[in-house]
Amino acid sequence: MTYIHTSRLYFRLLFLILCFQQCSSAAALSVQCKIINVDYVECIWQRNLSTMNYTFSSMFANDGLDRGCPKYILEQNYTGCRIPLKDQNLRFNKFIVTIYTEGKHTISKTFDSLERNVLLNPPYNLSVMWNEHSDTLSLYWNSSAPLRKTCIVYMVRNQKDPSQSLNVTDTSYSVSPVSQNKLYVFQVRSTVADSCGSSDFWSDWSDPVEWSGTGNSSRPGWLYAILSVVLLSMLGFLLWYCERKKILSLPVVPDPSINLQDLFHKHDGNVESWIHISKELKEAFQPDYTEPSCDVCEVLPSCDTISKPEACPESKASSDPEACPQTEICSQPETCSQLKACPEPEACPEPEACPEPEACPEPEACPEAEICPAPQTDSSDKENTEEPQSS
Amino acid sequence: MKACVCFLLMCVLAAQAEESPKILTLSKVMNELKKIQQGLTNSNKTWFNSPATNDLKDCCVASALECFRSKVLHLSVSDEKLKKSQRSVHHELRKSFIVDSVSCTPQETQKAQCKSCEAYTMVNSRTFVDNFKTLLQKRSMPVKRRDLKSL
Repeated sequence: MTYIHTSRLYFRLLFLILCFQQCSSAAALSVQCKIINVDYVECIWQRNLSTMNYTFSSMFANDGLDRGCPKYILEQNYTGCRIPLKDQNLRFNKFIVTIYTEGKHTISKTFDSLERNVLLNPPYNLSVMWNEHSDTLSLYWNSSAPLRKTCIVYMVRNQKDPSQSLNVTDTSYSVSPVSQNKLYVFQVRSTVADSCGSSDFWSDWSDPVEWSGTGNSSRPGWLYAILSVVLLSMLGFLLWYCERKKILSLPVVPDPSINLQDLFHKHDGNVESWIHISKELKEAFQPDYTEPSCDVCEVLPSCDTISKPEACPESKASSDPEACPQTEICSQPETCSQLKACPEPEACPEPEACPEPEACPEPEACPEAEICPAPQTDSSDKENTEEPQSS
Repeated sequence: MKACVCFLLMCVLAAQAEESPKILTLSKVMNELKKIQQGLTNSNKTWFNSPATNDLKDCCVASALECFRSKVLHLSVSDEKLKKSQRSVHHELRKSFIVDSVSCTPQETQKAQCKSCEAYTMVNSRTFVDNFKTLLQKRSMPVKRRDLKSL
């Protein structure tokens, strides 16, 4: 009796262990199946690192065909299989999945139906049109789902105001009245309608389409970017070739010769002809009277300066010929109204011998000046009227 | 003369109708069933034989539909208006274009060995109406003629 009880115990324990293994393997491999766009079934499961090879098999109830996997999905985190859906009504049928792993382990899962696991592709070709007369904004789109129009429900939303989302059954939607100062950004998504076996999944949102309050259909952002680049290029081009703008931004040294081309080329440097002085104005500058010149005689140095050799007079006849005393040239003595009689010099005593003056640099030769006709004097004066000694 | 004009006009409108009479009728029945389901009483206390729509052969759809139609009048509802909906459903599903739309020959139907209504599983009234709606949704889809071997 004890032996029988023990063997029964062993069998029960073995049965529990086997059940636990099956349960744990099923729990470790969770299979999810969805019908994508009523076109194909996609089943995915998490890859078990200890197992690399899987063999997938599936079938719909009353379909009669045990389909293998025509196309496996191999991703980094998961593995899957895509099975074409040959009949849309099969989604109402029971779906049985079997996965064979290495080591002859088998995982099986049964779906009562995939009716509620339908995921449609998002709508596409969204466009918006504004009717100015009725102040109505109309949104249009297309759907790629191979279902009757009444079998698809769409949800339309304005990204800028999510509370405005609502469901429609047609592939168009109208908004009226339209605010001119608002920006509208529309998106649409779809699901299977209740009358055709509703799904628990909405599709992804479609690409957004914008409309601003200017009344025109919105332009994509890339158009604004291109226009900006073109505008900047044009400004750069104008800046490069437009001299006036260039001068303002990069000032250059003024060249007045630009405005004096006529003077140089046409009038050959003749300013009078260039500036077009009238004949009357020219004659107005001609002198109509003459003024007698005043002759100025050179003032002779006094004897004091000569007797004091230490105070040797500085030679004005330096290298600069202009320093030479200029004497008025009396070119026309008869016109002189008055000849100033030069003062008679005093009779000077014999000067002491002057010390030898320091050698001074030889001045340049002064231009010869005409000497005023010396008044007639006695011989003693002649000595005094001699040219002063240059030092 | 006026009657002829009206008749011709109705023919033109019917020809231009996007949906077939079958789809329109099934949609109408679906709406009525939704109202009935919202007004069900004693849902867990009343049980009905319900064909499993997920394991139904195509040639057995007609018999399953008849099973649902025959039981719909026994559903317990709270409102008198819903009783009118029950009668409407019961009447609409008699139409020939609903019953005969499944193109199965008598031989195919016999070969399918469809279950009788009493052989199906017992479910509560709410599940019964859900299964009924699913079958109608399936019937509203276009049917593909498949290989006889699959039956």
